[in-house]
Amino acid sequence: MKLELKPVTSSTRMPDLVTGKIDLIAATMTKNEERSKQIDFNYMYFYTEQKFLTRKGTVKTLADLAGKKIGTSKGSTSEQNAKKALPTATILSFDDYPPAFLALQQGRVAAVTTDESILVGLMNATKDKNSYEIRNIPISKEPYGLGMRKGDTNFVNFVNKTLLAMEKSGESDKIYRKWFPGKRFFKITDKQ
Amino acid sequence: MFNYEFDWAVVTSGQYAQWLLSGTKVTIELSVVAIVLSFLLGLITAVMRMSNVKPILWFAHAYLEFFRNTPLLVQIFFWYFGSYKILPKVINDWLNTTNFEFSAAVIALTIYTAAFIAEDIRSGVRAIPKEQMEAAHSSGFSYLRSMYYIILPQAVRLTIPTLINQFLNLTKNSSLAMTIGVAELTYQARQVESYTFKGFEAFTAATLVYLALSIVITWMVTLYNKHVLNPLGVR
Repeated sequence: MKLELKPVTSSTRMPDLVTGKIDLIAATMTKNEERSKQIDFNYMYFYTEQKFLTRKGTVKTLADLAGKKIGTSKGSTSEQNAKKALPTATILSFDDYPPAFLALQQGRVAAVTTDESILVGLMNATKDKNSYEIRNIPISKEPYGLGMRKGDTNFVNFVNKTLLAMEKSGESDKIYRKWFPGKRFFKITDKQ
Repeated sequence: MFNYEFDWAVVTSGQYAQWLLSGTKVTIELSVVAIVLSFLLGLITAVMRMSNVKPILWFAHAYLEFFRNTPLLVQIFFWYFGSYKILPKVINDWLNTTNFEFSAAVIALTIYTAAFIAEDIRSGVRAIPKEQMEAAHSSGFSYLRSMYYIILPQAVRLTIPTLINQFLNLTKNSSLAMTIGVAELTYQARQVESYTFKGFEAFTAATLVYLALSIVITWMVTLYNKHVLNPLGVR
């Protein structure tokens, strides 16, 4: 079976899966109860937390962001979490993360908020990454899962088996070290 | 029959209905401001386009060709993201303290729609016999005064039905503002969909609101035709 990759955005990935345009979502998708009602998840394969990407030195604590404009992506858990954590801030949702980051670069928003893994990617893609920072102000836990259509239990079991085998053989550790610095502090197990 | 449980309460009561309501308010604000401004800008541009002064005519002609032939979405991104690169830092910093998302959307909608309105008004002016302009000149009116007192009042009255078309387009085009974070109706419908997964209900509600807005605008045309144009003997 050949792998075919299709880019999606936070707001289109679930409709695409449900309508059959894609068969598996591997798109920094957090497992939560609300989504589990519509689609099936496998075991957690990655763990990160939602944080804020800001210009260096502008933000020290969560309170510094009260009443400011914050950018994020439509249809993501980041949006809902940000609204809960900062009820006085204005959350501007763009179609995807690059426009949100562009808004941060142009000073139109004080911060971009989403999973730290995505923030790291945004920061590293720009030339002046030293002017930005991700402070340790987590506002949620984000366990990632691969999304599949509800009722597709054969596929879900196959995916879980494959991931557990990768964990046992140490391959998932190798892959993590290839892309991320620092220690990996989670493992793929069948307890999630 | 359908593999889906409809839940209309989601969009008719509670906080999600509040979101749709606030989105409707922003759509109406965007539309009304842009309609008024685009009408004024369209008028001015039409007069410039018909001027005898060549530089003015060329500028108006270039403006019209450019803004009518580029996609509105591109124009919205230009005013919001693109303008940052060419404006001085002082202005950018000031803009960031304002509600620039809304302003950029209004600017884009205004300039885009004004280009179409200008052409519609020009057609209206062409329908006025040119003897009127000549008579005005011979009575001592300058070009601008002839336009203002004699030609434009008649031309605009003739083209108002066509202009209402442009205003309808503008109201629907206002949904594009969501791409720069303006929380108007379509944006809120997508919000409701992503929180509740009741996409069908959310987008049906938004469609009905847009339909209602369009019907109000169209109804005003009928009223206008009945009470202003027809009594004048214009069909």
